[in-house]
Amino acid sequence: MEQMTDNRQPILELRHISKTFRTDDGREVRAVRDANLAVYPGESVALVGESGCGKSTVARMVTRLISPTEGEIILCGRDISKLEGKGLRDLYRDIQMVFQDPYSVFSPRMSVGTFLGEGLVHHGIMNRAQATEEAKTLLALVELPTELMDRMPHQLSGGQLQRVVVARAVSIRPKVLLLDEATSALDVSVQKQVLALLMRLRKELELTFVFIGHDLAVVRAIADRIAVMYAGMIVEELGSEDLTKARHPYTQRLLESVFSVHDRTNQKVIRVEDMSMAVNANALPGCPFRPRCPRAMDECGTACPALRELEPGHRAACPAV
Amino acid sequence: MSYYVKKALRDPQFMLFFCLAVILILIPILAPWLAPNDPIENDYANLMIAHSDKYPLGTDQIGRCFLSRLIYGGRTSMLIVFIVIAISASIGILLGVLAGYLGGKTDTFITRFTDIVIAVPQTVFVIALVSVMGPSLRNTILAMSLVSWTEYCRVTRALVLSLKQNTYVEEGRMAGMREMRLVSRLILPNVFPHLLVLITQDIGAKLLTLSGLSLLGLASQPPTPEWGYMLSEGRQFMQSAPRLIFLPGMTIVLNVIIFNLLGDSLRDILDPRFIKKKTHRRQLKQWLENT
Repeated sequence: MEQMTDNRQPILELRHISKTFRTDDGREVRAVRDANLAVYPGESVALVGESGCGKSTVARMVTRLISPTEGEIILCGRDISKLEGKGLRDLYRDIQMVFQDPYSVFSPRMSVGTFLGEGLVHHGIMNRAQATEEAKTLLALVELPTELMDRMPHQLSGGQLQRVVVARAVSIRPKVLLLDEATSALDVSVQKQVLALLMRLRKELELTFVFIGHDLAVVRAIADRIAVMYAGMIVEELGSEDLTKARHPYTQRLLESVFSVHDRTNQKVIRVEDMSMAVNANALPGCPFRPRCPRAMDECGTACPALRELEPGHRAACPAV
Repeated sequence: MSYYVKKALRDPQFMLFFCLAVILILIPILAPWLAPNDPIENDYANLMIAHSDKYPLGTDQIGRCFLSRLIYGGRTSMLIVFIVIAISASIGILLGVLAGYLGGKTDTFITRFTDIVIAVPQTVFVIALVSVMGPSLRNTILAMSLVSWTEYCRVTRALVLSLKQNTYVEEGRMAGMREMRLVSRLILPNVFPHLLVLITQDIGAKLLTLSGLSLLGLASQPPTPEWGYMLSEGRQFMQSAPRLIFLPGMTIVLNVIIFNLLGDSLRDILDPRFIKKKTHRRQLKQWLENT
């Protein structure tokens, strides 16, 4: 797979992007630092990491809901990191995002049918009447009955809402779909259905996925490639089939922390250790994982380790591996 | 839209107040046909009579048909009140949206300006303005509008500030909406129901302000009938003919109550999550039986 895709131009590329937030009391928080990632057409790449590692910030920068402090975001061959006004509005014809909480994506006073047509109407693809017709097709596409057209958001379940959100996102046929924890707010059974739907849509509509998540089981199911983030940095990149081959100490820890339904030994003794990210991890010079790393060396404290290719399609940012 | 219409038609409480409000609006409009007599014609043979066939509610101290004056009075009072609210709500909502949505310097400027206007006592300000500009219907409306937009502005600003944080605004942006559309399609529809309550409460407040101004001779000019002015005229005869203050007073109260209740039930209809539960009715019934 990698051999096939690596020859092509990436459809989405993050080049050294950083985002620094300034808190009210003047402190600087480096949410993302020097992240590099290439996503190839038709691929599904997952960004995983614990809460606060900056993965949602990356998603919001890629969709330009916020602007990166530094770096370039290349989508379909052009830099989108400085777009404004009409250019920014047109960007959303190529890239769309599905948010985590389906309940908050709907204005409580807009019917499902109207909501589905919004993208088509405001991007100037169709008039309102055509969009209403198209909305019925979209509902069918996400396996929902057309009766839902006149319903209000509060009359639908979380799973139904998320399907509607997905339908709206794909309605304008974007090239890239960002899924920011798109299934985390749903019940496990519903989660599986929505995932199956997403995978079907990806094939049918030839979408490229960037999936943000923390649930490794979900991520493995939907992604071809996984990028692991820690404290604003991408620390390892590998194929989702090769998770067991993870080399970076943080990825290994992350994998250990996953519960398994089949593995009963985990239930007897749960190894508890401080997995929380050091508060000032992003501010430290050198590798942010150093305070927690069992294999930390002297050189980890001076320079930030860069991603290094270990084998084709597998890169890690750690001098010890 | 059809969703709300259906919901409204199914809500007996709303339909009742809606019909009553329509009647209250129609009465002044249809005044020439409804009023039994000319409201400004003096009948010196019948001064201060309490009741007669020609004058169902009697006459006032200079022999004018009191019922006709009440009917025609709505023309001045309700017209002024509706225009004042329309103007002040428009100004307030516009400035509130600008301040809340744009933030930054615009927000600071508008907020400070609002604070300055609020700092001056409203009635005093209106009296001063009308005195300078000269008493006339137009000037009264203008003066009242100029001081009463502040509440709308503050409430709108606060609501917009919190609503613009919503994910659905970001979703709207992805759906390709321009800033104006984000405001008009996603923010305003969610601000408006809250303002509705403010507007309906304002009807009562404005009717009272107006009667205060009329008392000072700064609103309607005699002999044009206006409820507030009728009220103040009647005060002199409180003991000999209490109906002269009772009737206009009750008219104002009736108007205020009905428009308030209409606003309340309209807000419930516009809230998609609000569905009247049967249990409420059952509780009410129980309560009525107990008392």
